[in-house]
Amino acid sequence: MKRIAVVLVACVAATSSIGAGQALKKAAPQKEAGEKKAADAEAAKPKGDDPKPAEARAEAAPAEEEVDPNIAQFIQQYQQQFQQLVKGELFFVRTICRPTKEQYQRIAATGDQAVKETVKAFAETQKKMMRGMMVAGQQSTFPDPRKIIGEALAKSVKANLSAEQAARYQDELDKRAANRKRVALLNVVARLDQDLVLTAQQREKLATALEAKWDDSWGQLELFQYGDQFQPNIPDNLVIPVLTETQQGVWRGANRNRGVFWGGAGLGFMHGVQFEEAWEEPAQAAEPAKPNEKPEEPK
Amino acid sequence: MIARRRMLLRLRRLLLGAVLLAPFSCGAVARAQEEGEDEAAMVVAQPVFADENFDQWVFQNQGNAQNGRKRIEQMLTLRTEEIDRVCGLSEGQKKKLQLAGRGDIKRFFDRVEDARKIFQAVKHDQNKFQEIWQHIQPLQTELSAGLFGESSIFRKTVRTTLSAEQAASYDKIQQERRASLYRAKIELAVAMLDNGLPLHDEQRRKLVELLVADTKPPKRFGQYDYYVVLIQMAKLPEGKVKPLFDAAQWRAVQQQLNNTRGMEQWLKQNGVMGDDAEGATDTKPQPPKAE
Repeated sequence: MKRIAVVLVACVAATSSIGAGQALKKAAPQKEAGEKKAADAEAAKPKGDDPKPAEARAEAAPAEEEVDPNIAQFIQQYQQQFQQLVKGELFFVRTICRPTKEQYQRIAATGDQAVKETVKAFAETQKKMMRGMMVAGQQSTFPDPRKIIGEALAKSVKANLSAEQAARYQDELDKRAANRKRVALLNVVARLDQDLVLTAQQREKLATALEAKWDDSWGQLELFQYGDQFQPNIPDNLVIPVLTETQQGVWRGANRNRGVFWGGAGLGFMHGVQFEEAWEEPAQAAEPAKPNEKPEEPK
Repeated sequence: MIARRRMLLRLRRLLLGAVLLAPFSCGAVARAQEEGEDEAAMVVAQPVFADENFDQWVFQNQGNAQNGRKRIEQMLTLRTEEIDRVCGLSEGQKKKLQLAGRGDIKRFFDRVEDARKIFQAVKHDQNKFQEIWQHIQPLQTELSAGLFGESSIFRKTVRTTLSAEQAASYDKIQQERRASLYRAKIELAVAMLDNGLPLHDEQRRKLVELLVADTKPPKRFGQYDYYVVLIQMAKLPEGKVKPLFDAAQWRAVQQQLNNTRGMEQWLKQNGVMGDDAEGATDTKPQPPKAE
């Protein structure tokens, strides 16, 4: 069993962008030490356009932990998806903060660690759901990958860039989170309107009531992508007081909780979009969205 | 392309159900062979899709035809009550609208029964699943959008039954509802775009404004709203869209827009999108009709 776990750790680590040498260090038996050294040396070489030097990767990656094989299978499943998410977010950091290449390399190394943390949190959740310890659509404690990744990168941005650059990134993260909540609220009310034929006044009242008691589990945007197939699990006491008698009858008879946890990565429709990983100087990588901003000096 | 992939995925899921049933039927076949039963008996022992599957596919959340019908009748009541609330209907007008709505319900269930007959004919043949799916999917789309939309008997009767003043009041609230719903769908589409391609707050806001101003709601709202928004975005003059993004973002956006273009014809064929000129009527208030 232990051997299987080690092999899975090796497989997972090998597929990740974390230094291959680090992973092999844990998985390979002693007699393969020579090969291991070669792999480490190979990992340490700068790779073409990869802006992350091996030392930066190694610095960011702590020692591998032994992974439960039940979780390891989910790790493999999520790894690629979340790496795509991190790539997008790192690209965003570049356009918002305009770091120098060296600064960016340090932040990107944190991204690798953020992928690991996110994948692990997701794998744990998946395991709990399979064992019936968590029920989709009924709790807001599901990990939000964008939040985990955003927070990890924000921490790194804070450590590696100026206070002004970090504040700029944090401001965008806050605005994005607020926008997602607003969009979800807008769509919850629109969905209720389609089902219950609300008046403009009812729409307004519901929006106020829902916003006051907002639960993050209602905010999975994928819920609203599939017509009327999925509904957030909104409690009766927030909706019923606003409805007429006929509407209440429809609401009570509606099949609301579809028990779906979408994973929150929300890449779905954007799969396949590739970001340029090669380093381009900010002027080429992104024409300034806000004019007169220049790359800032390292701390 | 992605949408096709999703459709294939859905098909695959359904076929998976069939595959999961296969061991049972295979077991029956094996036993039948062992017991020396004739070939006809073996065919009978291989149900690929159960009768319940048909109702579940068509009525989805409602689970079966009975619940589906109840839900649709409730919607008719809600629609009529809304018009009454806004316009103050006479008893005669109410009856006319109810009758028209029941006509829509009958028309829909007639189509369901036609599709059911086809299902019954092919339900043992996994290879003919595609055939039945072609009949089920339009029913799903129609039900999801609601049976009392623009092309319904109900809506046509509203136009011919209400007085000019009543019609103006009703059209006004309908326009508000559609505008508010479409705004929510545009914001959702931009937020989904933002998931894979992080945008600045200002970019999101400008893109939403552009799409609200220069695109039109679908003929039928439903699970393809995202594509309706992006297909129209792809058709906007580059000079309006491109300046909202930086160079690298624009390349990624173009990839995404190219992916959605292939959906347009299918959406038009299935009544989700109108032709460009036709779509325009959706957002403009209907002229009031004389009683």
